Amino acid sequence: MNKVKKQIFLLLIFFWIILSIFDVFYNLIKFFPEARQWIFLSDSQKRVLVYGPIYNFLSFVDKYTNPNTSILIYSKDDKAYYLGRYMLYPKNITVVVNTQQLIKEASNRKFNYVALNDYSTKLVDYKAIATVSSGILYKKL
Amino acid sequence: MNVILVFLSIVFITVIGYSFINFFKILNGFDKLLRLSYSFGLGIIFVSFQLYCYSRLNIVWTSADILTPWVIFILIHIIKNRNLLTKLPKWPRLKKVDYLLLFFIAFCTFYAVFEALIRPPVAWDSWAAWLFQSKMFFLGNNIDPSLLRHYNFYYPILYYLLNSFVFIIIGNFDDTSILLISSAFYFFTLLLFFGFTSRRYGIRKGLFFTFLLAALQNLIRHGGRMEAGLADLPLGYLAFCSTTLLLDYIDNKGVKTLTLMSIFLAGTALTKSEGLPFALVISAIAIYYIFKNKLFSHFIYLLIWVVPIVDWEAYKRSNGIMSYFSGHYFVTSWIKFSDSLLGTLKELINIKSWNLIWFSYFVSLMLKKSWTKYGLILNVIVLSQLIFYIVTYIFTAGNSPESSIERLLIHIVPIAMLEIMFVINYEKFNLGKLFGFKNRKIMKFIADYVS
Repeated sequence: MNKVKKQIFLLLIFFWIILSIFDVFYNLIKFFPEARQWIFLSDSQKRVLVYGPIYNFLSFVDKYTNPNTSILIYSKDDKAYYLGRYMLYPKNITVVVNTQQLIKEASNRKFNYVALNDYSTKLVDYKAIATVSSGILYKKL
Repeated sequence: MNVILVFLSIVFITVIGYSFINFFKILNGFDKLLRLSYSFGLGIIFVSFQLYCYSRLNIVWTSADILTPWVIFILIHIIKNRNLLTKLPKWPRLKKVDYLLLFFIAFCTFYAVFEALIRPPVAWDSWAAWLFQSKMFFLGNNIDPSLLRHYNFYYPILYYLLNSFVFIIIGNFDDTSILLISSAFYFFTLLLFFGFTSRRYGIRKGLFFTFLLAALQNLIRHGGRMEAGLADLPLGYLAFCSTTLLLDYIDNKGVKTLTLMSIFLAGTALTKSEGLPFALVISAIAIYYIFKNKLFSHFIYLLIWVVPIVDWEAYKRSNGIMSYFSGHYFVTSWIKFSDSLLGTLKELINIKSWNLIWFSYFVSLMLKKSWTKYGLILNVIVLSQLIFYIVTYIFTAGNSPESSIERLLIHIVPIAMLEIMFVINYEKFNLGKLFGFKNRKIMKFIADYVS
């Protein structure tokens, strides 16, 4: 019985070695196309590939808002809250995912800015200050 | 430019650890390579602890205030050991096959570094939690408990502080260059594995098993590919440091080794919540040997690691910061039970990520030598940690193998690999009897590596 266990153990190690060598060559083959795919891209192009189109929208919000402000963001993108707080920190953000919530939160007037991702509406007490293909940015009057 | 600065920061952190080890004459019987492999871990624990103390004492985190004490300490160490740089270790005599293994390991490391620097952080937790909190600390120039409360951050802080330390040195928040730190953990894990095993079992075996470890796809993912920036590989490295120091303590009963192990246990428990069970199990084994050998005076040195943990928990409690269990309350069901077991099993047999390491490990458990002295210790650490994860999945909300077991197995993989190597070394394998090999050349070739 012990002999069988030892045989299985050694065979596993043997196949493990074969697979490890295969993995090294697999990585070697993968290396060149990956290098070609990524190395010539700009930083923002890479980030769009990694984070999706929401990255462009959040960069736009970051560009047109003042530091240390509070921003209400409307977006249906799953990454909006976590990527938003990561990219825009120390700006304080609140993310809403439906229009009723948006109107309710915007009417509180506690935000310096409201940013709408892939959506457009009129907001009382806010003025549109910048637009991009993926959204609009409003500033409190 | 930032990449070079991050690289220099890694070198600086390692020099801090190395100077400490040399200055206090710890690990005297160890060669330079092995001391170097512990140095990075020790360095990160020290610089993180420094930032934590500064924050508690309201000292602003400026690069001058942070670097000056270390530069003075390193200079004193160099003045005391002037011949340090002239005593470089000799390059060992290697055969062609050793160079081939070395090339494979070097390529894996290079690949991890390349992948780390080619793109921004990809893994969700990497930017949503680990790097976000590091950015928060770096821009705030301290640990602000009100922000930790606001964002519900209650996790141990060593890795955040390490990232903050590097950001302070480079002077800005660069979330791509910082991923080089993940590659450093990958490199130092391999270096420690090689240093520890080659010292006991010879250079060729050391190289051979280091290669098997280096080629694990999931380890490469955490060292630089998609999972770079997470704290799982740092935890795996620190837990491995603690484990190897425990084995050395059992052999030599050196109080300095025990003290160093205790410092590493503090680092382990302060990297991720999962580090605490590691620290408890390793301490329990150390206590057993302390009592067995009647070395009661050593007991106090083992307790060093408890001090920063208690302080951090007290700090969180006094500032109203959540604890782990307020986010993961008790809940269980049969579905959770079966999902936890099946999800873990599914990952253990995932050859794409783990190759055959877990198959080999569990088969090795059936062999006699797996349960003698070192094998027993390594198995207790690996299996207790694995059981802890499964039990956590079964009994707490918000935890499931689908979301995390692939990462959590990184914590125990170097220790499991060491156990496999231990079994191969001490179990008798007569290849002629086992497989009926008669060709002497093949037998000799395989025997060089296996028996």
